[in-house]
Amino acid sequence: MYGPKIDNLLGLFLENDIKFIDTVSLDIIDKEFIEEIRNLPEDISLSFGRSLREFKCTVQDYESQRVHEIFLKYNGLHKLTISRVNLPHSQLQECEYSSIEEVVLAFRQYINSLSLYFQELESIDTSFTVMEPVKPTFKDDYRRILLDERTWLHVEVTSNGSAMNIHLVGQSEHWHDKLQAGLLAWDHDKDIVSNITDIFDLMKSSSFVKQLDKVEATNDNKVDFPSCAICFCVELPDNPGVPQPVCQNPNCGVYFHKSCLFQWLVACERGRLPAFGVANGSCPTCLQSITCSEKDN
Amino acid sequence: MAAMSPSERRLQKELMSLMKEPPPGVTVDGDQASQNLTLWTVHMEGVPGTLYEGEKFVLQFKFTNKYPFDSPEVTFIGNNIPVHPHVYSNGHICLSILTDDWSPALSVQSVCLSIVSMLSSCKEKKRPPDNSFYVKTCNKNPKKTKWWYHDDSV
Repeated sequence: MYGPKIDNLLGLFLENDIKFIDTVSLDIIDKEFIEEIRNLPEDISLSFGRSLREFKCTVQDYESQRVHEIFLKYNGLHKLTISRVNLPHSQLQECEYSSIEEVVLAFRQYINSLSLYFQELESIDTSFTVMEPVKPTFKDDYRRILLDERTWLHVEVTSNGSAMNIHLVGQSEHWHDKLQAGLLAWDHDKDIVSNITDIFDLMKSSSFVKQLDKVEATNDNKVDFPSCAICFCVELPDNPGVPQPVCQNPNCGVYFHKSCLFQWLVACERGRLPAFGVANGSCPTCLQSITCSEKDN
Repeated sequence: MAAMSPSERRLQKELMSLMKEPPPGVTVDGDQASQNLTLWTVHMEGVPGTLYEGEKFVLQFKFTNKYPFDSPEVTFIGNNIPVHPHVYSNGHICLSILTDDWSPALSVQSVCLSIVSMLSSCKEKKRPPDNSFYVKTCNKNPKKTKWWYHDDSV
């Protein structure tokens, strides 16, 4: 979507025919602003979006090699707003900025405050097999980690790098007790990865390492991600969730989108919505009793 | 092309896999089904070594836009309706997974396999005892019939 680098485009405009801009886009962007863009420091790069008023600014983190993107909108001279950043909980979008450098300054302050958040997420992504999000980014403040084929661990990371809302997804009996004991003994001086590893003995468990290899091998061609036993798809067009091991029967190997299963359980009750948004019924595959919440946790 | 509805997406997937890896003796008319995803014709051959060896049958599947939450309407059509205690001479089939025991985890393929196995386990070729009464009085849609599933053995 973000096509030509601004250097090329400006080169076209500025070096060849400055009048071209005067006539064509006089009120699209100001000449003073173009000067500003030309004189930007080297560690900031810009590319245009769909129009000359929308552009993407790429900023590199001082402390590491992380690269962040800021999506900006030009609303007139010295009037810049941030339309999107790929980070959670940001309030940067609510202000107006007079220059790109001011934007970048505010952004750098924000990413510095998130430094622990980045570290924890990076560490989780490199240490464990993340099942969800399908393509994890810093925009997603949660991870679902593979414990075994039927169980995932849901962890959310706060902006200061702490874990919260930790719970199991799918088959839980085997892991439930470990998690309960582990949460009480959570060591806040250690990072999230060490805590999770301690709780579940992950490094010692050979089955986990095997799982890791297996999933990593199939991650490249995505085809092997289990599809939903109801819609037969992996990804839904209007739903970012992936199929989950919802059924608690250890012999039932199927995955469902929560929205598909919920729809079926409600249909079994002749369309009557369940109390508290949690539907009960039997698993479409193994007929054991199953529960499913409307929303994803 | 307009975006596919969830039922169309699923039917498309089922059609692909049924054409690619059909169960033995079962073939789907892929051209017809891909032109109209809600109406499929499936050809079925009697399994060798059973009472229906050498016979050919035609099944029709009709799907609503609520599929797979709503079961398909499945009937035998054509000249050769199998003579079987659970198959009426108008093509209606008395099979619980087609109505009460339907589950969205079932598929065209699993329905076909159930019907193949229902035919294969038959020991005596005969019509259901209430055939002539039922055929005269029933609704055109077999799903409107309140079936009484009397016998699990055949």
